[in-house]
Amino acid sequence: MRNLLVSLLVCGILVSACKTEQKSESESDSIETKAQQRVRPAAAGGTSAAYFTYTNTLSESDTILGVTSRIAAVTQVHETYKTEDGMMGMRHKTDLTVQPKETMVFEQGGLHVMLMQLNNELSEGDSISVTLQLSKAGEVEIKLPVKN
Amino acid sequence: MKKLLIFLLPVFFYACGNSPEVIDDMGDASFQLLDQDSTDITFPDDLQGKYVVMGFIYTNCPDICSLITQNLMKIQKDLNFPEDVEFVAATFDPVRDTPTTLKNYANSFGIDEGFTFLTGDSTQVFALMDSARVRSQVSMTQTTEDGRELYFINHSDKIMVLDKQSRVIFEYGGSQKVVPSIVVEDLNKVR
Repeated sequence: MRNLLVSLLVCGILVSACKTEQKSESESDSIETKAQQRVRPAAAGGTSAAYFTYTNTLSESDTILGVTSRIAAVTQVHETYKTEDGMMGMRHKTDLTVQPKETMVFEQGGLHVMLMQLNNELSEGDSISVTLQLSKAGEVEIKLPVKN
Repeated sequence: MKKLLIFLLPVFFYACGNSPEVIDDMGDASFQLLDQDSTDITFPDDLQGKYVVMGFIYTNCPDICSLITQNLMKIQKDLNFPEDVEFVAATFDPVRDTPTTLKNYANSFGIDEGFTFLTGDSTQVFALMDSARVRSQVSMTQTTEDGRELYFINHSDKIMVLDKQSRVIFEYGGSQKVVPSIVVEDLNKVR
């Protein structure tokens, strides 16, 4: 009986050590992308996203009120987030406060500018511009290359 | 004791072998879908005999779904475009994601061969999503100044691997940066 128990214990340890670990959605190693100044290629009528950084060079806080672009019918700041029940979603963000000297990062998996219902195809090699509307700095144009 | 070890060793080798745990069996399922070229696809039947690396997206999601698509592309590249593995991206927004839209989406990523985008009739698409345990839910609807309706979808973040018998053997968070290397490692263990 003792031999049986020892054998079962040894076998159990070996089996558990060799079992393939189940991969699951974990938050710890989720999106770790760094901002790259770019706009994603997309077809005419489709949706693209712009990634860049914006630094508030003023000595006081500023607010991003909105964003515009000539290349899309609708341009908005969105944020990718994880819902309470574990799904991924996007939400429209307005009135984003940028502290003095703070750099706001628009990056894949986080804040980004959505370009919806594109007027034309965006192909690699093209460049476009988006305009941030700030309460104090006014309009700030940001030129971006189109690339994956 | 010796007899007992002889009896238990096969159990140990089975657990340590190249047979991962089956999460779900889609072998008996059958969904009538369309690919990006509007070709009829019966999923998973038409892909049986190959491993399938499959992600779930919608093309009006240029952010997180682009990460999922990029991960599928990276897995394909890191495996050196294998003939025994099919790469699939299925939309859960079949109304907007027509075959032509999916084709344009593929082109914008520079995706050419060995990659199947799936859409189709909503009933079939959502039956597939239920079977794959992929959730999606319209989260935000907006009407533009010119009266066009925009909507966005909350959705599962998932890439999964099916074996040659259409059994789900691995599941991952689809947009996570580490996923391609893990999928490649797992596939190389079982292929």
